[in-house]
Amino acid sequence: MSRVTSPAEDTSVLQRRFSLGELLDLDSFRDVCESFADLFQIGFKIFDASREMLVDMKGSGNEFCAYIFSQPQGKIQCTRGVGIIRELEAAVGQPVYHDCFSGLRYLIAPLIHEGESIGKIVFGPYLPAESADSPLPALGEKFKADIASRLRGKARRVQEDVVRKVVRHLVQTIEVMLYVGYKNALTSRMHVESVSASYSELQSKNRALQDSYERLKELDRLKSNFLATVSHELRTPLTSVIGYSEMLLEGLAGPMSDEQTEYLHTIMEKGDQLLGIITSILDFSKIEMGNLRLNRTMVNMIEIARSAVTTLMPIARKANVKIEFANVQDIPSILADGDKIRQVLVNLVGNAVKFNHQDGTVTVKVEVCSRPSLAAQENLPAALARPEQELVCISVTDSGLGIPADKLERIFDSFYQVDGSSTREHGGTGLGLAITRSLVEAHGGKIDVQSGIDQGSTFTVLLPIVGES
Amino acid sequence: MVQINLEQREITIKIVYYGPALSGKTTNLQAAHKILDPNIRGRLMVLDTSDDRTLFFDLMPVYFKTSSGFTVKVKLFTAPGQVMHNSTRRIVLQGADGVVFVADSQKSLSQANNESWRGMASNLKVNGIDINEVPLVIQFNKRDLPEIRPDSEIAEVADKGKEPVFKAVAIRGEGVMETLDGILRLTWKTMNARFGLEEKLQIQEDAFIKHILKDSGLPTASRNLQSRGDLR
Repeated sequence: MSRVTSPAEDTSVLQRRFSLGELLDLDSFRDVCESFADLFQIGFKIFDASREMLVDMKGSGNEFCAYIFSQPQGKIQCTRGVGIIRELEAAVGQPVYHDCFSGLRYLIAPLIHEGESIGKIVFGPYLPAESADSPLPALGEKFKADIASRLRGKARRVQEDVVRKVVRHLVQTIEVMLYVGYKNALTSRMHVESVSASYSELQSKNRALQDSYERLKELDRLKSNFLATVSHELRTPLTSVIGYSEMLLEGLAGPMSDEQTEYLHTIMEKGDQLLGIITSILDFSKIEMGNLRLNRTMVNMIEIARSAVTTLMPIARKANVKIEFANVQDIPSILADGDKIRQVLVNLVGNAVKFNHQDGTVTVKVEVCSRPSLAAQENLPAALARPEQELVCISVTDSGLGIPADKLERIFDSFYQVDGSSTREHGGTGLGLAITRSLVEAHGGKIDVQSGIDQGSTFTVLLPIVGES
Repeated sequence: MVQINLEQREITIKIVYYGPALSGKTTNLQAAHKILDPNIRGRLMVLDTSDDRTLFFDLMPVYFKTSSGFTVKVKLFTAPGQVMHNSTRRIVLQGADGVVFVADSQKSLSQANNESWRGMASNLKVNGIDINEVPLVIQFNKRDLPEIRPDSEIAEVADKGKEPVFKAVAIRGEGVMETLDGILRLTWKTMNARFGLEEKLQIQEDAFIKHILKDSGLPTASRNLQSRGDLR
């Protein structure tokens, strides 16, 4: 757990050491320093902990210093003085002074951050008001004492307690800026770290989900294969069962008693039902595996709808449900696979009969309607949506149980049934509507449903009007 | 992870206040900030949202110089309590040398305490910190509220566990310094046993505590940490 660190080494996000320059916005900080030097007419320098100078503000003593520095001997002494000042370290609350050979003075105060020195202020030069001016140094033949004396007189003369107050104020101002800078630095680092940690977590969760999705997809593919194979294998012997039953009914194996004939009719009926289910599963497997082929010809939807209704009439009669066929206008023939559309309508009308009340009604209506373009209904603003197009609309309305609103979205899912209980009243595989939707969509169409509890349901098949051209 | 910088003669210790949302972690730091000597502590940095919920963490540095010239820095952090900030909590716990678990005394929040504890255990583990090794104290805060777990129950569970347990009303400053004293002593003991800090810093446990808690009204002589708890 313990480690010996080098000064510059980062350990964790929250324990990194920052230098003075890193915690201050140096450009705006220099602006503040400039106005400060302008206000007090005294220059100052700011060094960081590694003694690099970050700020150098000129004050009223600048002209005098420049003159001294222009003298060869003055330059040597000045450079020596700067070296001494760079090395001076003051303790908290105990600033130190440096008296320059030229008679000016500097005050050095530390900048403290989290209890330790992070840099220092070298405040000055100024003329101490409490002491008399010291004699000017002799700096060679070219040195003009009268010029030097005049320039030194321009430097601000100030009392020590005033200097201390000014420096304390400057230090406090800088320490507040350091605190704000530190807070910002930690906040932004923490923000980046948190976002990056959350991102990593999400990424690994996404990877796990993706893996799981791939596994499920593979399982789904296996399931479809299994269904197709099993259905195919079931259909072959079933065809024989139905075929031999037919032969028996036709008397090919000799005469049958009434009771035997009745039993055989039951075998035939149940065999047909079973064949229907197996055919549904096979159809669905084909659709899922992308093997659905449409055999398109010009077909009349009224004829197809009428044929579907006719097929279901005996079942409807048995269930005491009335089927009404409403066709009020001529419908143009369209290019479609008549068998598949017939299958769609048989499914929808069959459901409407199956889920109806005794003495209920099923209404089948075929008409031309105008709807927004089917291709344009994909979350586009109205301005971008394509204009309305004419469609063949085949609606199947029942007066039955209705579908709860929260189940409406799921009824087209394969194997889904609103009443999934083992004691459900109505049979079926839960594939009918999934197949229906796939067949309609394969025609470039769409199927809508409107329903409510005890308000019946209306399924509407919308097919684009497509000609042979 | 305690940082010992021999070149700069500096040691930095990290203490994290952890616990369920609104259990009073920030309030602990605010109270300690009021009580501690301004000369040995820095500003309290609070990074919160407009509704005073901790966003990233709070931080209060405490620092002093030993007579041997070593700078000792103790950084007190709080972790954000809201459930959604788990990744931030994990980052704040990185390198913790000691942990104060601030539990809410209200009976209705026992489940929140337990969930937060389990979250802490998991986050410590991710950070490579063994919950059985890291110095850890438990504070039952909000003892002034009605419907709290009674003292007898706290004492009973405290006896069963190995972590020292403290009771507090942080909003009034009660129990805050006792808890801080508890975690500092435990952390010091643990680190000293491992790294020989007394030898490196030439400072004894009591002197270390005295530097920090000098004017807080607590006796700074060595004390036996009293009670024990079992929130797990």
